[in-house]
Amino acid sequence: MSPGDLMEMLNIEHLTKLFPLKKKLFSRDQQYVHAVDDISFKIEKGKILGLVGESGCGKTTTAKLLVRLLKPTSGKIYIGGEDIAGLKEENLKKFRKNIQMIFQDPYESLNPRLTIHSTIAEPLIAQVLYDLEKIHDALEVVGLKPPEGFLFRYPHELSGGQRQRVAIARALVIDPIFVVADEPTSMLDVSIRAGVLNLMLALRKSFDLTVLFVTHDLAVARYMCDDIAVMHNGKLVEIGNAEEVIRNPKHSYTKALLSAVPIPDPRAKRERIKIREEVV
Amino acid sequence: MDTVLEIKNLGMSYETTEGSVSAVDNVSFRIMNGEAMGLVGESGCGKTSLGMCIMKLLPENAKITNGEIIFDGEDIVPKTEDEMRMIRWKGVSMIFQAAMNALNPVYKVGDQIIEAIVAHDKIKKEEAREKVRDLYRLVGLSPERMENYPHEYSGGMRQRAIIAMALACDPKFIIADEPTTALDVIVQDEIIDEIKNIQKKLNMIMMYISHDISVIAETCDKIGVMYAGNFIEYADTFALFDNPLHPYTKALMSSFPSIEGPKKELKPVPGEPPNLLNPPRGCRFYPRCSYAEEICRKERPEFVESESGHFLACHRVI
Amino acid sequence: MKEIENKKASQIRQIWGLVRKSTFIKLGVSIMILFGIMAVFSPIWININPEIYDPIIGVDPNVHGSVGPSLKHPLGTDDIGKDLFSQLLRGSQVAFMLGMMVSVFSTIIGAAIGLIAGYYGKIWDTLLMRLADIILTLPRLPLLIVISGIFGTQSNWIILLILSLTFWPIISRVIRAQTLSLRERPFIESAKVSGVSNTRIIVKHLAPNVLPIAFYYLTVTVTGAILVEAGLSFLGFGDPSNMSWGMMLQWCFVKGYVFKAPYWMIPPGLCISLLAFSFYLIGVGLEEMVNPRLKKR
Repeated sequence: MSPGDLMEMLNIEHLTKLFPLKKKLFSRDQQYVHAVDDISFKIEKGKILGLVGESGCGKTTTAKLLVRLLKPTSGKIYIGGEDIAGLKEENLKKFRKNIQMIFQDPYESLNPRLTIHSTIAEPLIAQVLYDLEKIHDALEVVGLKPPEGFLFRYPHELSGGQRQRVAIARALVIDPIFVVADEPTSMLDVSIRAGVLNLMLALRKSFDLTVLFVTHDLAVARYMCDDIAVMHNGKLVEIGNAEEVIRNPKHSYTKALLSAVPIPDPRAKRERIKIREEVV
Repeated sequence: MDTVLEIKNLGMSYETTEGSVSAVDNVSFRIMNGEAMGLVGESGCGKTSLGMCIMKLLPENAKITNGEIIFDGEDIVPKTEDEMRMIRWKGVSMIFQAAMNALNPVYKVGDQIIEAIVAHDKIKKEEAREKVRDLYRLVGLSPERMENYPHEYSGGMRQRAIIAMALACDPKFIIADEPTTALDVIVQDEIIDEIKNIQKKLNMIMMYISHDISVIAETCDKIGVMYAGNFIEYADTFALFDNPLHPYTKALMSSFPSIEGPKKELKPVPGEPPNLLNPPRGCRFYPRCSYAEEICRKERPEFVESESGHFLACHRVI
Repeated sequence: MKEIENKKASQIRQIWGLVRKSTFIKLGVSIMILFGIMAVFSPIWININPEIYDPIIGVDPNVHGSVGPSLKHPLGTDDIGKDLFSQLLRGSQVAFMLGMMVSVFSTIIGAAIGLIAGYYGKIWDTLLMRLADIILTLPRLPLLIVISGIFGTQSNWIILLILSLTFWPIISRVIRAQTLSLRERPFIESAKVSGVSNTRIIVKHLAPNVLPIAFYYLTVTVTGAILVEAGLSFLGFGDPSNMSWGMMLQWCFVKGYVFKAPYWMIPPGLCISLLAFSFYLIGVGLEEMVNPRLKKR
């Protein structure tokens, strides 16, 4: 069975990541931060799951675990049926073709010294698949036309929105089956954001991509995602269909989060639910 | 007096190695007693520059090229730095973006605010200390926290401390420049609430600068929309949302997804904001406007009253 | 790939434009060219009359003792009648060669070690940086003496070796620091996610980004190398089979002509300072160039 046949593209089981805290001088116990604490979820083929939560909740750590920029402390990560959680670096190269990531910062995720051509060529070269055609196609598909006009420019010559499109092109050029997008539009201007979000939705359709969309913005998550998972302090507190979670949140944290989101409508009245969290 | 702040035809530019950047161009509006005005726009639209103009906290290479800023009956544009020092913090105060940078890491937070008060008001340190305690309670911080250093505060706490500092000298006017951008949504919600309550309680006027129209919708009575250094629309909040007139405002409204209401398709605005080194001669939104016509390319539209209380700079709509 | 070539050409043109604007670089390069001309002129001068003008073995039989400048000997002669001008020209060659080679070797070694220590971290970092620390604490002079003793000879090649080995630690520290900060940047993470090998990440992604600072250290090291060689030669540890400015000073001192023959004393000292200074200026100009570009975003 090839990865393309499975209904579940991504399956996380009891994923945990602990970071050691600096040891106090005379203590014998090692303390840990539970950045990701025993989370489990699945994403079906072709769906977009939104991973939402506030800063420090573990969503970015989860994203990095899925692309193996970090090694899990325990748990399983099944991508296309294979568990990559325990794989050693040497064996990961094969799987890197299937999993790609789009980063948050359009200014930092492109090497300033490489041309756009070289940036997009890197994954192809690494996977021994170099083909100029593919680079042309990738640029066209993300709306950077004509491709020849962009190939030999440098990142600093492009706008934030264009750079993010290059980042998307780079992620898709090796035909991954699963993409992790880590807050891909939060550093873009609002009027540019819509364009990039719509582009991602269109690409998901044309390429039948499975996506984990990490964001702190619930409104964007609602717009982009089929399902939403809410994280808090390393744990998964709620998961379900996007509209359901937004309209009928079950967990108290989700309710608090939703009630805090500002609405672009002066007439909206919201119930404020204050969480007794560390405020003072 | 009803009008506390009036801006008339304000223009400001920066000198860069590549030439002069026209950051604020021909801006006029006024804020009345007790009002909270929102200033919304994207990066590079001039909203932060406008805020800096009013505080006269301009960098070396920037200068106000024309216009008046009439605060409390006086035009502050010609005032000297010494005169401005008296007005700042007392008359007009500012809550900066990226609050972490506004606090000195080697001094206790409480002491920093006390310093600010003592520098402006002729009161004893002990009185100032009492005042800071009251301020802390006002912004939702425990007064014992006055003894801590900035790094011992969380992001939300630091922002509250910055608000306390901005209020320390009982200003008449507060400019809040993206005060919650770096904060989580729940903390943001609390801070926005806090600011709104304080504004009403102390009857101050406020200018709230943000790129986030949702936040502005919740906090402000009037909204001014800026694009590429120009004011392109100004209206009462409800009026603006019920009936946005300028094509850019309409485009901006449909770029914000919401968690309420039916899911609507976001419509992106094609193109990029203009290079302010060489702004287009006519309407600055012309290249990206779907309603544009010849006259838009040639002539800058005037900022005039289109309906009662609703101002607009657009050839097509007026 | 014509477009790639065109792009590279325009990039070079861009850098050249910046270089031309910098007063520091222009001044530094002018002085450097002056000495370059001297170095090139050296064999020509010798050829006029090798018996007299050879810097090592040439001697003017008509001269007794050290004489001042004249048409035949533009800088005069030393105490046994050797032409000082040809010695100065030869010294120019040596200074250039030694200075440049030391800086190239030590920069390459230092950059490589810095990149590896910074990127791989952990045990590599500890090992390599401890090594750098040890070398930094070793005094150059005794080291040179010991190594000359082992190899049984004093030659410019030994000096080249020692200097290269003693200059790389400083460079490696700086490069390591840069690498540490670059390593966390998203474009490096992105390369890892794409499956790019570690070697390629270091060579293609990290190295070009540390290039500006490496370049700066290239020029600064030349200054250091020239000065150290001069010092070593002055103390008598230079290559006796060749001539350098430091050696000229040494001979002048040893023969007791320091106060008696300013035409012997001054030129080599002046040249050492000027050439070292010219590279320093180039370094400053480069630093200027690199920084404002980074600030302007």
